[in-house]
Amino acid sequence: MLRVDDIHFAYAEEPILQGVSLRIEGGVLGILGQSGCGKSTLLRVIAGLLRPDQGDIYVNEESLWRKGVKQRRRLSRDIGMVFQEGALFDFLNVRGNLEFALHSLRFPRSVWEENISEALSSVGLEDPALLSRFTTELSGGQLRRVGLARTLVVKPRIVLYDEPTTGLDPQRSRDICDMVRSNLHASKLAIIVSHDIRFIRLVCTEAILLERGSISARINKEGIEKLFSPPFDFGDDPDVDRFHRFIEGLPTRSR
Amino acid sequence: MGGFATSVWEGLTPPLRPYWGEIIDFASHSGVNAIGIVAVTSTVAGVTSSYLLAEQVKRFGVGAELMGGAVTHMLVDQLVPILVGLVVAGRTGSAITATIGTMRVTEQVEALKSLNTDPIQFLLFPRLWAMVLMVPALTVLACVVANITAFVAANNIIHISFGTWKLSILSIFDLETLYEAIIKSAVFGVIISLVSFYQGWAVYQGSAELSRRIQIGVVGSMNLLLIANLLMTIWM
Repeated sequence: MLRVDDIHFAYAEEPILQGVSLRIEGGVLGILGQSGCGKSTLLRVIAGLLRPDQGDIYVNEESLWRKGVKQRRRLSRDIGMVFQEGALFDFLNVRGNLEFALHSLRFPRSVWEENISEALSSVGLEDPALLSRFTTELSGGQLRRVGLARTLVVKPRIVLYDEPTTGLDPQRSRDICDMVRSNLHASKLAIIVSHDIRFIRLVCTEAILLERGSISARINKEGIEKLFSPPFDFGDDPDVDRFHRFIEGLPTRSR
Repeated sequence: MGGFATSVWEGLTPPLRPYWGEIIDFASHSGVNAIGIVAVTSTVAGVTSSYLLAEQVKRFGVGAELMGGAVTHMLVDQLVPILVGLVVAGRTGSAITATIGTMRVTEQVEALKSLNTDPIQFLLFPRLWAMVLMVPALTVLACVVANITAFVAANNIIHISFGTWKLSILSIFDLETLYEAIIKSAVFGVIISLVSFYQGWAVYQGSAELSRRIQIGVVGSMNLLLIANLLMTIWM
C-alpha cells in the first residue's frame, strides 16, 4: 500500500506540487496532465528521489522521509523506477547495467543469471549478443526495454513508469505497452505517468488528472472506459467530464 | 549549493560503501593516463628554469655551485605543484564536470538513487580519493622529471657536472619542501575534485549549460588552487 500525504514541492521558489494526497492499495494508477503540471516531479517524490518541502510518502504505513536516510534506503528497495529514456549507465554494457542493479540491492550472486534472463525475456530481449553492447550501440526502443529490464531484474513491489511511450513510433509504443501489461502481475502496484490516454486505458485500473500541481479529478476503470464511449456526455460525472475536457483540449468548467 | 551540501551529508551517512573498483579506475584515468602531459609540462618547466638561471650564471660568472639546489627548490616549492595542479584541473577537472553533468542530464544520477546507490558515495568519494592520491604522485614524478631535464639543460649551457649539481641539491635543498609540495598537491586534488564535481552536479538544463559549467569548473578550480597555494606558502 502506498500513501501520498499532502505533498508540496517547489523548484526555485516556483510551486510545482501543492498539497497532493493519494492512497493506492494496489493495481495500476495512471497520472495524466499537461506538460509542466508536476507529473514527473510527483513520481520522483514518490520514488524518494526528491525530498518534498512538506508532506510525506508512506510505504505500508512506514514514512519515507521522517526517519532519516537509513529508513529511506530500506523502503526505497521496494520501489523501482523506469525512466523515460532508460537512464542506462553509459559506463556499463547491458549485462553490467543489470548486474549493477542486482549488486546494489544485494541480491545473492546465485540468482543473478536467473533474474537477468527472466528480466530480459520479459521485455523481449533474448539475443545473448545484446548483453555485451553499450548504450551507444542500442536503438531508442532497446534503451527503454533494457531500462525496464534493469528495474524488473530486482523485482520491486512498486513500479513507477515515467512516460514510457513518449517519443516512440506507434509500433514501438505498442510493444512497450504490451511489455508493461505483461509485467504488471510481477509488481503489486504500479504508477504510470503518460500523455497517452489510449495507453492509460489499456493498462490502468484508475487514473488521476494533475492540474497546476494538484489532483483535479480521479476516475476508476469504469470512468476510463466512459471516456471512449459515445455520446460523451458526462454532465453527471464531473471527474470524467474533466478528463474528457483535458483529452480534447477543451476549457474546463469551474466546479 | 544547499542541495549539494545535503547530498554530501547524506553520502556520509552509514552504511558507507567503499567502491574500490571506481577508485582504481579513476586513479588510472586521472593519474596514469596523465603521466604524458605532466612529463611534457615538467620538462618544459625544468628546462626553462635552468635556462634562465644558467644565463645569469654565465653572465656574471658566479653561482654555478648553487644552481642545482636553487633550481630544485624553485621547482619543488612552487613551479611544479602549481603546474601539475593546473594541468590536472584542465584535464581531469573538465572530465569530472562533463561526466557528472551528462549523468545528471540523462538521469543516470537519479537511476543510481533509484537502485539504492548513494550517488555521492559512488561518484564523488572515489574521485576525491583518487585525486588525493594521484595529484601528489604526479607532483613527485614531475619534480623528478623537471630536475633531470633542468640538469641536462644546465649541463648543455654552462657545462655543470652531475657531481656539482648533486652537491648543490644536498647542501641547499630541504626535504621538508618536498613534503610541503605533497601536502599542497593533496589539497589541490581536493579542490579540483570538489569544484569540478559540484559544477557537474549543478547541471539541470542540458548540453548548453554543461559547456558553461565545464568552463566555470576549470576556471574556478584554477583560481582556488592559486589562492590556496598562496595561503599555504604563507602558512607553511
